[in-house]
Amino acid sequence: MANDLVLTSRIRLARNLDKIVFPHKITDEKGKDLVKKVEAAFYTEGFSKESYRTVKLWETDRKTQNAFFEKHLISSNMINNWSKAAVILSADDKLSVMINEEDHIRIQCINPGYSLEEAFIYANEVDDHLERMLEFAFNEKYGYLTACPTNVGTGMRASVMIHLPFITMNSKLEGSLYTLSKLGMAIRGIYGEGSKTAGSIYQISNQITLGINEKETIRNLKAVVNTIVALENKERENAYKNYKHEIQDKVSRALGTLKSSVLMPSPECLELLSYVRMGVEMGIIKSVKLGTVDSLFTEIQPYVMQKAIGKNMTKEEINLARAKLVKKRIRENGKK
Amino acid sequence: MLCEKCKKNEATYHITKIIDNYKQDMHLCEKCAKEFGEISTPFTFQNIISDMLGYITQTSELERPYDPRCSNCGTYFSDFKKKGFLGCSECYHSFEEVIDPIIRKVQGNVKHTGKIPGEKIKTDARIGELEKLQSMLQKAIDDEAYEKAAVIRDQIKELQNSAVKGE
Repeated sequence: MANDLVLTSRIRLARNLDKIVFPHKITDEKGKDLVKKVEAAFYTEGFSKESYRTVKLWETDRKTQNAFFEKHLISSNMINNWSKAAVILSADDKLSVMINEEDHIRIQCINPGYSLEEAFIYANEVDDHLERMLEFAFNEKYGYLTACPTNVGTGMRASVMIHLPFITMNSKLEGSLYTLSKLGMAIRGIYGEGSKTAGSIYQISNQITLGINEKETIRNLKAVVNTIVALENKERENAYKNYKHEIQDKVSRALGTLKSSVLMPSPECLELLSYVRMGVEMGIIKSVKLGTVDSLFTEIQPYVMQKAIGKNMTKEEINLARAKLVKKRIRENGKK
Repeated sequence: MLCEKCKKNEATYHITKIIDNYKQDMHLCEKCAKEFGEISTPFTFQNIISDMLGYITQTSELERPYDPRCSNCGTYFSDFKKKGFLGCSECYHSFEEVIDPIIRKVQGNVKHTGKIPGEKIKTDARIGELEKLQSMLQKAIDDEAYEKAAVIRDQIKELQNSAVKGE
């Protein structure tokens, strides 16, 4: 069941070059030199320009940057450092190597589903690849040295994006928050630190990075995720016992609205997609695939949509296009 | 006017004291004034400024009792306290005394147990070396050079042992 509730698994490794000032202190000129240096180290054996591309933020406009952010390919920190930051992306957007974010290098791998190990293997391989050419700041006692001491040690943040509609509905999350922090884990909104929750989707990640190795970190995160999934399922079972028809009605109406609306604002769309996902997870809706719903969560974001359509749009135009896009995707249902 | 104490030198210090509403005027030369402890040091501008500086340094020392600076990037420890970011990797060394308790508080631990850079490179090099030795061993056996083969076999064992120990 955890497989269904987890949308994506993410591993992020923070690395810095030895003795070079951290991004918040580096000049634009030196920052751009560092981008060149990382690119030179990256585009070697096995990592070709056919499979990967570099996007220099100073060569892009704000809308493109926001679209990358909505796709989780770059962080808000990177947008703040736009005049010296760049990102190396794989063709499938699974891998992004952020340069001059909070740290010099942040290797991020996002994998669909509950697949933290696979994400780690990929990110670790890129780390091995980069360290052949670059001297990373490392200290035997503190491990990998980072701009903020909250990341020293492994420099690794492992996280899952998880759908918890019943826990949200029954306000059971507040109780778990304290326990999570005690276990060195944190739960946040869909766009990370300080962001709001939308569509009952949360990000659960490790907080401790020192004194625990990479495998243990993943194991602990999985233990926490499995516990939360069990709690969500218990809430579901209880609710379904008492409100079977109400739940069936709610998810079917949500799908009906998505299939027939003309104007679809973003908050409503996220909420309805969350209900449809719930219906698919519970086997109430059989005509829609989880993958269809999950890619829509990103595709309906305002900047991603404007980038895809290729023009600036008013709010109404976006809402009109969003309704169309959702209908089209549900009709196609993964078959293009 | 002559000094009223020694009656020899010109009186250059004119001191007025008011004690219990009783006013007392004194006219002294520099030597006598110092001798009778009426003045400690002459009131000059230099003295006033240095006193002020001393006062300023004292107060700033009170605010920043200990503020080490990183020799590599020039970041002060107080900058880190304000922003939450260190300046460079060397800051961890420059601020070790003060940053260690912070790391302990944030992380609950101060000993790295995860990945070490170069592990993969070392392993790759070891595998390469092992493959080379194994083909040399095979060749030595094929050539019936058993003494040489024994030496190579020992080298292989040593390499495998070092891998187990993680050297």
